[in-house]
Amino acid sequence: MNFNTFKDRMLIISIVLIVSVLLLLLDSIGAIGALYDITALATVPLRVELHDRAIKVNDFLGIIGKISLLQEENDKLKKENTKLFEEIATLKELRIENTNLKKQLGIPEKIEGEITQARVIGNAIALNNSIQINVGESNDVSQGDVVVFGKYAIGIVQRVESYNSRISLVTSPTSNIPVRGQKNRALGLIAGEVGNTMRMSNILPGEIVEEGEIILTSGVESEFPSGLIIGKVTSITKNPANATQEAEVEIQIDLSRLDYVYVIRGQS
Amino acid sequence: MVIQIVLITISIVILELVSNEIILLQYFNFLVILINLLYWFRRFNIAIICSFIAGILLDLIVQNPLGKTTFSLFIPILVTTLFDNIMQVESRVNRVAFSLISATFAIFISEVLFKLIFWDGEIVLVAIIKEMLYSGVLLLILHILLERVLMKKEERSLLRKR
Repeated sequence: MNFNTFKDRMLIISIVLIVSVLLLLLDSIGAIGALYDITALATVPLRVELHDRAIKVNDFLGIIGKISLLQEENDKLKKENTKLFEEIATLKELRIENTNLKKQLGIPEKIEGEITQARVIGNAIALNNSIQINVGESNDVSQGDVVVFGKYAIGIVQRVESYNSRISLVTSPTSNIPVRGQKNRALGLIAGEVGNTMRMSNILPGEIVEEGEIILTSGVESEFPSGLIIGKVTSITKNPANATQEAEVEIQIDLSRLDYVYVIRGQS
Repeated sequence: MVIQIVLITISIVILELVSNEIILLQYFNFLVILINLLYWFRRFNIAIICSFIAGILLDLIVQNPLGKTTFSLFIPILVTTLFDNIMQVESRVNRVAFSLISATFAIFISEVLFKLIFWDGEIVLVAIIKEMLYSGVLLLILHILLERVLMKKEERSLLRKR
């Protein structure tokens, strides 16, 4: 490479870098939101379709990979199903009782806030524990809104444009959600770890957490309303450094295969 | 050349469908590798134009801060251009080595430095290492493919003689 070519290349690269920094600055003050909106309008329909197909291909490949384990899994599920029928019957009775009690005490029946249905348009779970959905400011979604799937906590709206939003998932290592055990009511903080596991920490020494116990959001000083499911405890460890306990929690939902989620607006 | 591009595109679509990750352009490492290789195969102008457009599109689609990808891509290219001028990288081995260094640094800047400076999400070490490993393998495969397409016959025979 002669000196002139080298000089030209360095100049072009420097210009690109300066433009990049300028764009970063403009983005940080929210001056180029329209560009994101135009891109979303042009790409969201295609991405919805692509995401659907990706889930189908994954399901198909998953079946091929697990074909030998299917019989065993089927037997296990049948047993679980029988057990769940019993639990559903008990729960139906409890729900009626609970509704009647709530009416008498004047407690609202549903989670506060408006609910908006959204399609998942892509996921970057492996890379940064986030998914993207096809609703945004135009649907009154705002930063900090809670995203759920049924009774499962999914995440928080991290970045919002007019027609799409990015959700930081509960499995993010920085999530730190206040939670409690369903059975023994032990309080703690939960954050994501590698894979599908999460770690519940800051459990006081006197509190009891059991293996298999369901962990729910506590709703205390958190965007998440109380009672949303986070996962199931798989193991418990004592932390000798600060005398607290820690529990490993496995999330019960496959976040990479979500197609529809619900945004609870007005929680933030 | 057209057949090679079609093959590369099909392989990206398959990767996308199999891995169920965000979209084709989510493969930041793929983009990094391609740009680096184009650069080292002396397709400088194409590399600059493609990487700038692709980088901006990637940020807009995946809702990254705009300019993050181009910034992460071009810092290593700036440094390696500087070294190239000093060391006059000509052999095949050196080109691959320089591309590997460049790609690794681009991922490092995008996933570690950038997140630390701008507090843009958390650092997931396993994902970063995985991304770097993918880059290494894809880079070697694409290097062989592009060498056949982009390098002139004389240049190739000259390299073999060396």
